[in-house]
Amino acid sequence: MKFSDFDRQSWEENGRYYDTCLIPVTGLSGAEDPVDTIEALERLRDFLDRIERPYRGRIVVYPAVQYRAGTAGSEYINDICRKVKSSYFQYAVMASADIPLSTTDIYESDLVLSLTAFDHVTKSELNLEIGRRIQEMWQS
Amino acid sequence: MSSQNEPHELGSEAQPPSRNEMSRRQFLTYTLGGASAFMGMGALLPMIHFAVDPILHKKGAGEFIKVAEAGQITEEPQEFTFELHQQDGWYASTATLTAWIRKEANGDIYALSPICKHLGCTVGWNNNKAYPDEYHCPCHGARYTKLGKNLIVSPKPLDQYKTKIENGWVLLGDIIPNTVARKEA
Repeated sequence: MKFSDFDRQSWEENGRYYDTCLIPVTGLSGAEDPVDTIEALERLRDFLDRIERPYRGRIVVYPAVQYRAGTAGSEYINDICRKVKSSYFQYAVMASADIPLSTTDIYESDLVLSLTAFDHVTKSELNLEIGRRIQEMWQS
Repeated sequence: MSSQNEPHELGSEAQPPSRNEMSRRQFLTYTLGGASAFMGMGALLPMIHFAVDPILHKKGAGEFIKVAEAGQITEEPQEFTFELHQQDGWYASTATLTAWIRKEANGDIYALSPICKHLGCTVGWNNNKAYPDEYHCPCHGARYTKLGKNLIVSPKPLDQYKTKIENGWVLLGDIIPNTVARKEA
């Protein structure tokens, strides 16, 4: 589910079932022209659909972290993960379509998914691989 | 005598036209008004047509989509994906849908929707080794029988697609509430 699909009543009623927070990272640098920016956001949207759609009863997609900010950016993202997990969620997943993310840098997240890391797999295999990693995270 | 009558005759000629006749002013008013209304409608009609266009089109309900060859279908559920063109108001989109299709021993074919009736995750067939030959939801552990009957967690059975066979193909239509799960004891 998207965070915007909830209202106060539905969250209080079913919020306990949603234990995984998916935070998108756009990875923009600011040097992109408007068309490149649109394409980057569309790639990220499609990637998020692959992650969220099969598990929409357990994953909540939060607003994106916009722009990358070097090593300081990693600390910023770690801080978000920490706060997300200390409040309403048990798991924090980071997802990016264009920039590589690593669990070494984003050590507070439970899973990082970068589309760039799946270059070698087909589209149908991509869904299976994403599903396998998410379910492994839940079972660990 | 004639001189007495003249003024009377002249007076009757000078009278304004009776109510049944149209004056020049009325004629011009009607003509200009009618022409303005005609031109106004010419401009307004396309706008009104655009505003109510989605209502004028027939809904997609009742459409069937060719999904699989009937000969491919076995008693074991198989997963098929297909694309559905949707029109939501002025917004057209293509949705990729999935169905789990199987046939009964008597040859009847059923197609189940994989959307869990608990909170909307996607169920899979035989994807939990602890519970073989069942649909299982990876999110909160809902389980369903082969016919889609809800066993635990979920409050309702899996929905099914309207199904028909045509020229050796399985065609799927709208998603409807499950009608076969209650056959199970």
